[in-house]
Amino acid sequence: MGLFRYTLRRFIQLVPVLFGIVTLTFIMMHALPGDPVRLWLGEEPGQELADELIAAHGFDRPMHEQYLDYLVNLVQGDLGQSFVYNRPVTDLIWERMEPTMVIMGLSYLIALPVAIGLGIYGAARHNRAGDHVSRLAGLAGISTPNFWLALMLIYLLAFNLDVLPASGYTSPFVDPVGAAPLLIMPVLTLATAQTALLMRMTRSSMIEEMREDYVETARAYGIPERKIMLRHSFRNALLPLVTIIGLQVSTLLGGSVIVEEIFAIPGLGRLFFDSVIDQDYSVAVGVTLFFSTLFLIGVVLTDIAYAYIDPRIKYD
Amino acid sequence: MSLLEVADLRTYFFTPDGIVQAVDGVSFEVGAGESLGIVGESGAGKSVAVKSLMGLIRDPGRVVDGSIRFDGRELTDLSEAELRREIRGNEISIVFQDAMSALNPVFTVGSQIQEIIVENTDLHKTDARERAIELLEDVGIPDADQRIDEYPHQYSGGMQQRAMIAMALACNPRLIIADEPTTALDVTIQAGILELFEEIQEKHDTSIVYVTHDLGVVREVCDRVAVMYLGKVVEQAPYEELFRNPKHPYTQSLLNSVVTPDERLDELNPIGGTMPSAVMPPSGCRFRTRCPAAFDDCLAVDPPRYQVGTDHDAACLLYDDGIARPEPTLHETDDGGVNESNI
Repeated sequence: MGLFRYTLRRFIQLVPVLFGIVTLTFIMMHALPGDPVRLWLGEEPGQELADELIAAHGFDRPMHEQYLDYLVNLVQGDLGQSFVYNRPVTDLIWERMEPTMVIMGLSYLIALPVAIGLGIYGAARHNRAGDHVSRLAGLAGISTPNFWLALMLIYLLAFNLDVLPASGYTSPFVDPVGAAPLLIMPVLTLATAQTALLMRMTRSSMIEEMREDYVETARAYGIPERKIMLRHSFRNALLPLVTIIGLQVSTLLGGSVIVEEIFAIPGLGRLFFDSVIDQDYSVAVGVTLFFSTLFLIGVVLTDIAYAYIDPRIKYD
Repeated sequence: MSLLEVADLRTYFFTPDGIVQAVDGVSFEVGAGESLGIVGESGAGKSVAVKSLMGLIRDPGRVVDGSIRFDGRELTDLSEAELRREIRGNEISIVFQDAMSALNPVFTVGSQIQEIIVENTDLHKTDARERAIELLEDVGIPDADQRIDEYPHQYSGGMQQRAMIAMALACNPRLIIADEPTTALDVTIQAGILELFEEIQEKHDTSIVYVTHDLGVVREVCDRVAVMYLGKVVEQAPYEELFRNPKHPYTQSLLNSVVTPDERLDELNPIGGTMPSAVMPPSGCRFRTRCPAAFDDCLAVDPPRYQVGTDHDAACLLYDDGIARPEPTLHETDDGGVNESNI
């Protein structure tokens, strides 16, 4: 019961945060210099056509009216109309969601076990060869920018070795065999930095926990070292990890913008990137709102997981 | 034969700053059903000495020399796996100072006791749970069948320590090491915990080694006392004898520095100076730098144990008949205490 009320309250608390995000994004998008209609039309068509479009989308009305209109629609679940695609933003987001969720999901699926496994291994071999190697690899992973890694992967695997297609996307739900080769590089790109960071966090968190008094107690009572690590210490080491795992939603969303652009994946990241370039106001605000919501849900889930992992933390 | 015979135990820590000779030639014995108090200032090596018994010294520390015979078995010869399976928890168990941090915060008290039972005996989970409830009842946890499912933070400090003691009892060990068992507790709780230990000792004929800097604890529960200073045992005697007739200048100073309620702050008798580092201990007798009775030979000779009474020995050159020395500056008063004007 406590859990349900806690979750409900946390979600209600998100509303003002999201309101702030909408307002800020709205203002920032509209503050951008340039004329979206002209940008879309190109130089050729006459001013009459442009004026017509401007009027049709209401861009000629005062800013506060546009903003209030947007809010009223938003409350009704309407994110507005894209003037570039001439379609509702909700439809666009819905369509473009799959690729982004797929590469993010796969990235988590790979990063979590690999990072936690390597992190525990590093902690178990603290300051020995295996630890140094995995630490160094972790450092390299964190320090590699994802756009560079993506380009290098394309250069090596697609261009030089020609073993993988350079770009494109097929839904793995429709054609799993055809989708797999296309997914390898984007997912690898996204997962690398994520794995590296999580691995180093796991390692340091585990090393810290292995110094705690309860570990000595367990040793003094004949509990095997493996059980001490995997049961006693790991459960305690999870707390900081869960935080990172939750916060990584934002890193991955940011990464997806770059990765989707480079690998030509028709996902939300690319939709967002294009909408900013085209100054497609409602799409940019809509996707930002969607990303923020995802991230905030991640944060709330993190908090809930906390209370589950550590009995000292209460929902209140 | 005593249950535990420790002879010339040396535990060193090999740190970048040098070798810390934390325990340097310590010998003591504990008989079955007997309780020994190991007393000394912080840093004297008490905890390291008892942790060495169970093979709990971790890198960069190591037991470098000496013998630990437990019930006739040489523990220093056992492998880590043998120590784990055959000694830790089931023959020797330990109660730590700070139960709050010694218990794992994310598991229930019951599951922690259960795990120890399952790990060290043939009992299965459900039986182990029954046993855990019994143990908690034995150590005086009210509503043990309910509270077994609570987490350590839901217990009070005294109850946490009782839960630790229940863990220590889980597999009927023959020796319990109590490492500062009451130091972290309220004075009002301390007595109850010490009583519990005495009860256990009587009921199960368990031997107990108390590590403490609190002479009050020693007076309360110990049959014998070993006084440690900078990695060495300087004096050993039955507790009554030690309190009435301390021989080593360190023991004398220690007893003298105990504050009694009728003393005022300006009448305190602290031991002058601080304990030197165990990385470069003083030559000869380690206490000589702070000893009021030190003379030239103390600089060169590491004093062996001298028999100074029945079952009473002290490692001090004052008791060597062969060494020429100045008149001892320490005089004992008639009642066996120390005349403080001479210290």
